[in-house]
Amino acid sequence: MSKIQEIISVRNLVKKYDDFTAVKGIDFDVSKGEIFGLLGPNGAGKTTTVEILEGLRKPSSGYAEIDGIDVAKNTKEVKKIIGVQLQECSFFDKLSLFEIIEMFSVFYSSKPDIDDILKKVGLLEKRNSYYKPLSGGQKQRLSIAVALVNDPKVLFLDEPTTGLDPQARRNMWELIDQIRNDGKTVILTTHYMEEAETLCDRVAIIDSGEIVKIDSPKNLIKELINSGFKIQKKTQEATLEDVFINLTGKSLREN
Amino acid sequence: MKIYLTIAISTIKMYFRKSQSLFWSLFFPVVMMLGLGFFGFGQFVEPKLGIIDKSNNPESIRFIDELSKKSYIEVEKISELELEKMMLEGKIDVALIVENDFTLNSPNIELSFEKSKEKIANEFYDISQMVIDNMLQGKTSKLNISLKEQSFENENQGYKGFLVPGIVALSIMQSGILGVVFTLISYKTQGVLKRLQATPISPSHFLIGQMLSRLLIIVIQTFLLFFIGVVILDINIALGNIFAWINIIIFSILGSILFLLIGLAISGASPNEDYAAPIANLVTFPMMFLSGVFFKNDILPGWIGDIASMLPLSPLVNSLRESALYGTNTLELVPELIIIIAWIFIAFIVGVKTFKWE
Repeated sequence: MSKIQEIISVRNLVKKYDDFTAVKGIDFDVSKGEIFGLLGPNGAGKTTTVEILEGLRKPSSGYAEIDGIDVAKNTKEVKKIIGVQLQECSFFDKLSLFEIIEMFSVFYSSKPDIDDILKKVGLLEKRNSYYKPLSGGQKQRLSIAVALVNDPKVLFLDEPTTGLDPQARRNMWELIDQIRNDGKTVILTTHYMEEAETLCDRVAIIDSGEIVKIDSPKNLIKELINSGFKIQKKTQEATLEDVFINLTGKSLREN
Repeated sequence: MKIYLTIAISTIKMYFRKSQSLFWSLFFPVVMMLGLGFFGFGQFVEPKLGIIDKSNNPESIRFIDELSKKSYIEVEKISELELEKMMLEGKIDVALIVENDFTLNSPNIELSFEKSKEKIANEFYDISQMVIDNMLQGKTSKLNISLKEQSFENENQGYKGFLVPGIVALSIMQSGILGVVFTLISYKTQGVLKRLQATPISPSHFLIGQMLSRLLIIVIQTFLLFFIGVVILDINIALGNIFAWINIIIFSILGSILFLLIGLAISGASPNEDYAAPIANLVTFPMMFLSGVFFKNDILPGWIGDIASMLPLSPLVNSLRESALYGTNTLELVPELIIIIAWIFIAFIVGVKTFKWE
């Protein structure tokens, strides 16, 4: 039996705020090289969990480690080996994309090929423009570009496709897939089940601060069907989104 | 070190790429300086008369006494030697020289003034005449007042010279407080600070880097505004006194630190933009009018004046004005120094206590 190498381990993690508990003692492991999805309704505790792993919040109790480093104790060391794309964040205006990435490289004391990163996320021709005029999809891709400056072992993507049009969303999926192929581990939170189904090797379904289930999307679906679940409508061969993409084309709608 | 440098360079780049920041820190103060400077609001200040009594007889002494009783002018006895220096420094507007042969029946006096004070000199002419007429109680005298228009070397200052250091101090406050408040609040609400928190550098590095580059920008702004004052308004900085420039460097740096910290405290205390702007205005607005930027705050009634002179902007206005006009020795500005440093401590503590990254 070949043991899969775990890069993230979370044990009995709890995060309490004054009057409520956002995360109620969760456990999970993430293997190296997989895309691990955290799914759940708003307020389920996804973002809190991710922000504890990113070192932005301290857990109330429990333990979490990334690549063998204790997240709560060695926050700074963890920050050096992870890449972070936050759900709601912005970058400096009046700096070019190149300058923004350059600045963050200094913060991580790394010297990446900035143009190469911009090319990877499809923003090379935007290297000299400012942040503000970018489209939503471009902003998200810059956010991922910045997350890649330190060649991270683990990449955290918090709802990277929220608010994007279908073309930009599919383009983002390709990018995430490509990042996984570069050998990085990706933690992805999303509201879109289709996205999780397409991208994730395994997903954890979180509700009210607890993990309800962890498995591959395929197994989860199979389990549901085996339990006698029947979809009410006749299964369609295509979705409305497929229709939309078919009619409007796959190319990105932004300059 | 490289981190600070990167942050500082980026901050300066962003600053100069933003047209609003240049507007508020340079264009606006310059327009205000030129507008008010040429318009000449000097008349709002009580005109000051320096008296040289050459005759020193009982009648001249009575005359000067009567003159001193007028509440709407300020009268000071000076010696002939002091005359030029006091005119130069703007401590008196007009000199009244009581000639040797002065008697009430044949009052012989001379009014000496520089060109820009002609209006004030005419007022003093009328006042003198009125005083003498009153003293003679109806008897007419052959009044002999000569008006002598003098041009003093380094012909100077007047209201322009008074105004420029005030506007410079005001700009230090505005750039310090408003610059920091609006940048930090937008970084905070847009999540820029949060993103920085996710990097291995401590966000306080970022804050310090920001503050240092802004400090540099404000000091440059200070010198540029003084320079514009010299070139366009033709004012004279401290008659070439080296103390003036040393003081201006010291006080512009301390003033910048103070108002940057006040900006930090305000951004800490306000949860979002909706609060930040009113709080920033609430802090800056009273100082704009009470700290002696546009007129001397000794015209304020007693206790208001006392409070006003303790406001953070007042010692900065005073010290820059003293330095620019008279080249005052740094040691004489120690009281101002103490008030500024005390405020720096207060702002620092409030800033550190209230500042939140999210």
